[in-house]
Amino acid sequence: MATNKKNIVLIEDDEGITRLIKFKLEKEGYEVKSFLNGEKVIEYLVRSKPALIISDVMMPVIDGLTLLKEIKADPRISNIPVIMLSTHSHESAVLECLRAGAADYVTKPFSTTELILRIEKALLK
Amino acid sequence: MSSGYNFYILVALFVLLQVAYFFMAFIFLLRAINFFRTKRQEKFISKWQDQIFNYLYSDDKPQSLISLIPKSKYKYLFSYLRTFLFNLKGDDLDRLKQLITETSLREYFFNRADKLNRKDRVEAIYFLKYINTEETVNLLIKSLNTPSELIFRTTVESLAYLNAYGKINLILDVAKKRKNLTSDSILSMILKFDKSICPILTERLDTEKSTKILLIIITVFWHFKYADALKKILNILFYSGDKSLIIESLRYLGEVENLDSVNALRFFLGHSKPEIRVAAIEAVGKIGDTSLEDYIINKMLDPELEVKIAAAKAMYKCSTKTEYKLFEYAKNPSRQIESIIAQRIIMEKRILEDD
Repeated sequence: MATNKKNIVLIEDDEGITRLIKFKLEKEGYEVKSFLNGEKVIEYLVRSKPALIISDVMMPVIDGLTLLKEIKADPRISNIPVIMLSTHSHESAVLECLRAGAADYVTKPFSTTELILRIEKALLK
Repeated sequence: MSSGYNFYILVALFVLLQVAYFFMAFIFLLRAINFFRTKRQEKFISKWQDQIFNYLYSDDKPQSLISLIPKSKYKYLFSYLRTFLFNLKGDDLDRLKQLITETSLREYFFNRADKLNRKDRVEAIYFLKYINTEETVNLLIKSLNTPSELIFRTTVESLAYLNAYGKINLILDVAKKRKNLTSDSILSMILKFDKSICPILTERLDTEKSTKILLIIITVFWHFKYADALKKILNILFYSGDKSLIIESLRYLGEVENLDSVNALRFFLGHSKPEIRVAAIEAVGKIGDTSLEDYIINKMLDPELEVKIAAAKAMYKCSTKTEYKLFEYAKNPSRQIESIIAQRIIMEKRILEDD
């Protein structure tokens, strides 16, 4: 299946933040599908092959890092860039995600303008 | 006798049942309140969300949005804004702040900051931190002298957000009088400030008599690795005589590598109290000063078990020589206790490193 360059999957447990990111991304011309946790996301990713994934790190059911590792271990979706979003700014947390294959790491508090720039950069790679 | 006994059992069961009913009704009421509040919040979001987001990414005047929202819906607006004020930065945050600083909400919060209702006050004080003016700081200072711990805490956190570090002495003076405040609680509030409070706290060391406050100040220096207080901390270390102050000062020395601190650590490695020797060893392990490596190696032969354990932990990370000696202790059957301790520490550290 061909990858849709404008399709983004957002996994974030905070509904307010999800709505805001979705609003901003849709304003920028992206199509966004959001999930409040990582459960059943893999299935959807395999089916829809989005251009990019944005995932929170601290989430119920499956945490972001575990989800990232699952994505990178699945050859059908391992090439999709994943941007991690987290309140943890500690170097070890950032490195752990980057080592696991994250394309980028954005710390909260974040700016939506910065997030868009990082998305564009990740999509260019 | 038997029927009287049964009667008391029946009465007790009846009372228990009543309590259980009352408890269930109370839980039901709380859940119902929460349910309706959530519903109202959701209704607010579905009605106003797009307008708030559109405002964020437009040049619209903030008052044009606020004037549309009825005052009766403010509590939902504030609850919604909190999430974004906490999670956003840059232009997004600036636009959000304008909703508070450049609209009628500014006066609204000023008016409510000294209201009698605790909930209203806490909310107003929380949002006032986004209005960075002298008037705000002065108003917040008035709120420090409140009997409510929640109002006090929110006020201190707002002052910290405004970086009103010049008020730190006042905050500590008030905190000192509040007997119900624990050291950890005061510390967690003060650490919301940045390093700018350290020079003022260094001055305070000259006059402060309370051990509780002195301990808090030393911990603040330790947290910020503030080296300029070293001279005064050394003074406390050698002249206070208070065990807790000595231990906290030694912990601070572990963050400040300097010839004076190394000399002080060497002295306290030989202190008569084992807890103080442990603190000195931990500080040496932290700075990893090679001039003290032989002292640390010898501490494995200390009569106290806790000192031996601290020495083994410090040896593992202090230097190549101490690490080598630790492995020697581990393999030395003639020193059974030291050997067991060394083996345990090596194993623990390796497990941690593998993780």
